Amino acid sequence: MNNKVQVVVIGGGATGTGILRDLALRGIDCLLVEQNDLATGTSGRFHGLLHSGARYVVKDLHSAEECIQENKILKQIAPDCIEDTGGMFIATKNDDPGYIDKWLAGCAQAGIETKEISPTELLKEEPALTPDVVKAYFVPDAAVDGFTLAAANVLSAQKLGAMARNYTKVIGFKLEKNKVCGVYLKDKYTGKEELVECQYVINAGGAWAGQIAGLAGQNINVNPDKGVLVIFNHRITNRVLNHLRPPGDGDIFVPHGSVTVFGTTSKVTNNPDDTEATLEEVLELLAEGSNLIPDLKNMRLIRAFAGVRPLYQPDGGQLGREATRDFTLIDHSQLTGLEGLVSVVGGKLTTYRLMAKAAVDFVAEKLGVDKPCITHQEMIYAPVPKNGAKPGEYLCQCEMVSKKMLDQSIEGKGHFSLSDVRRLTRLGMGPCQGTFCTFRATGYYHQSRNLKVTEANKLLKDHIEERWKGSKPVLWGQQAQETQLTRGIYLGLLNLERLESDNNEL
Amino acid sequence: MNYDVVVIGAGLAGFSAALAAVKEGKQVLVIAKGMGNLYSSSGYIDLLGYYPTTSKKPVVNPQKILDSLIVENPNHPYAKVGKDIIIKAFNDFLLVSEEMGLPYTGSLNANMMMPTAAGALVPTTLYPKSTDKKITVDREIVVVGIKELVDFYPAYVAQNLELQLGRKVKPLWIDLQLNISRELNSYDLALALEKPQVRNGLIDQLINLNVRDSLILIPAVLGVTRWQEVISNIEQSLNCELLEIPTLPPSVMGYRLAESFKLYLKNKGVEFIIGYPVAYAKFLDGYCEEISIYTANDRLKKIKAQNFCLATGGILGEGLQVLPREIKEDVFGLPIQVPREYSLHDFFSLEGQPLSYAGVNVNDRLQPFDPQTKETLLKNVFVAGATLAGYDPFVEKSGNGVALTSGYKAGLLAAKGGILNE
Amino acid sequence: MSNGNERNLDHCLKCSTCHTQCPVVANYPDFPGPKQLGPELERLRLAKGQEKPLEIDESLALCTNCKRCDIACPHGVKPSYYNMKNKARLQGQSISKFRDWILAHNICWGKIGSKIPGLVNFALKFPLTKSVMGLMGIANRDFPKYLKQQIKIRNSKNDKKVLYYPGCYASFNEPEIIQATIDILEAYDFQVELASVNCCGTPVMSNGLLDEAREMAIKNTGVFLKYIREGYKIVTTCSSCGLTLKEEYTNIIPGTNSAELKQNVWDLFELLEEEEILPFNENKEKIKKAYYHVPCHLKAQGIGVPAANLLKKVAVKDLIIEDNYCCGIAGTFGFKKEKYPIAMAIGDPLFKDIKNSQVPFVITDCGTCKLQIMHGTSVPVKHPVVILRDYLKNSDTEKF
Repeated sequence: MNNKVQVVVIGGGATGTGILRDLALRGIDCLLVEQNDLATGTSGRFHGLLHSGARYVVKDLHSAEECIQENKILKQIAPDCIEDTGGMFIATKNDDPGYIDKWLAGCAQAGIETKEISPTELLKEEPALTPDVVKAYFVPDAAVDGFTLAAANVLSAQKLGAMARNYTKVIGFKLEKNKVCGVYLKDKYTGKEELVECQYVINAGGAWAGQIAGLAGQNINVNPDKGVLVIFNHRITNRVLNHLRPPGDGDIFVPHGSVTVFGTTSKVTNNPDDTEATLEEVLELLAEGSNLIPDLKNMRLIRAFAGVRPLYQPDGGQLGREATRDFTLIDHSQLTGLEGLVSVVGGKLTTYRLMAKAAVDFVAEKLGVDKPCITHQEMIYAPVPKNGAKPGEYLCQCEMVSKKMLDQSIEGKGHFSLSDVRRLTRLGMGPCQGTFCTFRATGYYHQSRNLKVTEANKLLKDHIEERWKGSKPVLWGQQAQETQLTRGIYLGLLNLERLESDNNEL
Repeated sequence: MNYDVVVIGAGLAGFSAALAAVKEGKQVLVIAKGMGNLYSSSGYIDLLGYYPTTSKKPVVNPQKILDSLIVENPNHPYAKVGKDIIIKAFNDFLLVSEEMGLPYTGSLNANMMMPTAAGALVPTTLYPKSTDKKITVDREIVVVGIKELVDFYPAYVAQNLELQLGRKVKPLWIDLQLNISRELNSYDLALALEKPQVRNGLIDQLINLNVRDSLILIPAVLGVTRWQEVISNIEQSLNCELLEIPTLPPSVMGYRLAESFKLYLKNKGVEFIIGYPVAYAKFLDGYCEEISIYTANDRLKKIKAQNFCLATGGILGEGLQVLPREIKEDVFGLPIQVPREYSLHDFFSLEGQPLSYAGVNVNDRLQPFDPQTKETLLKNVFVAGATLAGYDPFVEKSGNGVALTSGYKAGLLAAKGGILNE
Repeated sequence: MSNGNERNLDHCLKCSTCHTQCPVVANYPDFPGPKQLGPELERLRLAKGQEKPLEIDESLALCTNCKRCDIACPHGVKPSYYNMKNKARLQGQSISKFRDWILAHNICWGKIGSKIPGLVNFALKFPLTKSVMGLMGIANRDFPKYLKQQIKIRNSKNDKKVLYYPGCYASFNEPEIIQATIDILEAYDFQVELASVNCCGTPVMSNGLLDEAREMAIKNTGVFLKYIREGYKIVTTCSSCGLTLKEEYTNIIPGTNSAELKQNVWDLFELLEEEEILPFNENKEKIKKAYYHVPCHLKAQGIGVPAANLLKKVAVKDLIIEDNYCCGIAGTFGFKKEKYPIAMAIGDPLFKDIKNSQVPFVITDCGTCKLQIMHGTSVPVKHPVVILRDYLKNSDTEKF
């Protein structure tokens, strides 16, 4: 590959991929590197809510204003990534009625349209809700697919000549005269290391941004904040459901395709890789959520996971829920005199495009490029469209994933895992959590990609292990049964644990 | 309703219990919430595949290894059933399988290595006679996949087999051109292949692919009820040996066993009520007097019996209900020891998972007892199959073996009022 | 998602056991089967807000509502619940809407030829119509009038009170069943009243006319509840009517009324099984051999085979009890031209089994099973009450 580019972007989340696209649209030669696959950090580990901003209006009006502005833009440019479900805020009889007025005023000020609906009417449309609703409002929330969004950004950038490499970890910076002039990379599959030279590095590592900056001897105060989420087997409500009260734990339900994502919690953690949910955390969430959906505890959970918010704490700032959801651009030359590195921290997925714009405006000026940002005008598209197969061509019947979609999801990729495929297709994201489709996808790729059989065995085992990881905190009820069926098939029937498989870090 | 023996559960353990009881001349009713999990199983009766489970090598002679298992694992269901009854149950099943028109074969002294749909080899003890074909033969081995079936990939099977056998295995695809506009599973194809014109299409393609005289491994789709006709028709046309490989659910080999066994029991006079779970049980002085099921109108239907067999399955069969910090046995409310952690290991760990070892503790008469007080809880209830504590069938490869043998003993005990004269 | 059935899609593990028990799958490979049409696709329908049916939903028309999937499921899923519900949503756009409407109403009200003469020709196009027409002919009269003139009820007062709901088949096609049932009930010392309510709604419902079925259910439930609150038990002799009152009403009109009704509906033999007396003549010579077919809708009631047990005890020496096969008729299903071959293919193993067992006649509780079995085998078919009535201790005096 070309070992010299103008800009290296670190981090394949929404922000990093947004930056890559913005750079590419301004004609800047760029490379994105991501230590895992795209959107495997926070961009793939959140509730999938495209905020209208209404959640923030009381405490953080500025964020709210940014959200509604970006909400409208993203619905225009990324329809493949967004399901415009609409959202609702409901207050129950146990909630503080005084908050409602403050909230309505805030929405009005931020320019977020609200529409009141009577509790009786609402219950007809959303029968799963508690009968204790006293006030309810519709807002322009929506569901956004972080995986598809990141992939769509990259696809759009690649068409303009930008490059992106996943499973490539930054292991160091090349520094000359207090200036960053390249990054050392390690390919996780082959283990090979190499240097890519550049004029500028944008650190969009999210919760990992502190670790990355540390490689260049920089100290930035990113406080990873863990949030636990659970996924229910079916769509509980048709719209995004928010609890109309000061933001707290367990007050957002997002209908996502065929499932519902529910969360979240907030706990400061030191480790951005702390993404496992515990049984206790899940039970606390369910208890909270039952206030809005009384029947919640009887509904089937298919997995639980955690995401890590990349909260940035300027000196003396707040932690956790009190921390600002705003983003910050850190020019390291201002901080320590190190040139050639800028870090983007904080923020949230809904405003990723704004963050990207700010970072690229800054870098473009440094590089003497004066093209303006046009990311709000150009459409982006999902690499794997969700249509086009005839009955008989589906390998995953829970989520209707066809052979063609399997092909599209790995187009142009050398090595891949089934998790990479899953993120773009929803393979294995349904109730059986990969029980049937993992085997089928393995068999299919083994032949169509001419894989070595030990590589295919690894593909299969890794995916089952990954699905198992998310099932462990919800190992009761139907999911306990389902995992026993999975074990019955893979261990009992197939005896797969006894088969040899490859060993690599992918 | 009044019976000598009521068996709760319609899986292999329940069927085996019903068989043992009806053979003793008893009036037997099988009640179950739904069909058991035989429909998802391989149809093999595996006594013991790996011991200890972490052993890299399969068990060669399961009957021999039982002695150490029984001594070393007194809580294992096999220790409760006892070697003599295990052997008797297996041998009886061989005879009965002939009568039910689905003859099984195999020896307790030698496990057979059967190819799986992933191309692994799995040790098993009894298997349908139609699958009595050794993978170690000199013939050329061919793995045939069927395009319409999404659950079988011949190249994947062949290459994994090559790794283990150290010899060439040839993968082939055939396309039955059924033109059916949906995804087909093994059961669908098995239905299709009962039709002579579909079968002839398969035979013609195999002839064209030049696989005469080989050992052909093929997913188990060769007929639902008329499998004998289908298999012999193809074998004769090609002068080949056909070895069916059990597939992902719905498993046709499991289906054949489930349906043949059920029909056999019906013909022996066993009654069945399937579709409704037991709602409640009435006890008196350490005995169960009667149980009730909720029928279609949520009205309790009372069923009295002298003795009961509990064969409702484990977690998968819903005999055990897993809650976040509790595991419940719903029919009789029997106590279950809850493991501190439900899962400790990687999915593919050879140790098994703690959750899988949970179940009802029983004494040597398979009567439930309280693990703390060692007190027998119910004297006329005999527990069988995956409801039992003390084993993980999936890593050990003992699921159907435990079901068959413990079911057999439970049925005998129920027929004889809890006392066996050996 | 408020009631249990709505959510039971959560219980599906995708094991496909239901798929292997579906008589339509076994005979019509294009049918996607209960797992896919039921719990699997229902998740996706929910995801689409349920406004538009899915393309594949057209095949729902082939679901016979035999409920074999419901009782097969190891995990308590009821695919037929979703099938019925979604069939109703489809009905708006079905091309055979008119024909389905006619069939739904012909079977239940038996008005062919009387009020809408033009329909006779239309109906003649359907393969089974000849035999049906013969039977329908009996039906050219008003229900209550007929009952008044023909049926004999002793009307003796007793604490054990029963409201007998004979259903359309017995009322219009085989009133002998009604008289035999009354005779038997009276022999068991029940005070019997004959219900003057209309069709239970089964055929209307299985043709997807859910709104209409709902109306019928509400009306009928009102009538039944009046009796129930006076201490009557509701008794049926038709397996499908019985299952509808017991189960379907709580699905289509959920609430306390249907729940109260449900608790008080009995299959005749389910009720008799609880009685301690046995008012039959044990010296009378038994029938040597007969074949008892368990209707799918009896099997789905979870009450076992009480009629067959009584027949064995009282009237038939060698009774072959068969519950493996569906006859294929599924109410109005087998009357439809495009479904006739499927219905006959489904019934084929049953027909063969009956022919092979060389019995003089077949016994079954369900009227449409009877039509189908006679059509497929030419062997006579009788309702169990008709046989058992002749074994009553004083049967001669009560003869219809």
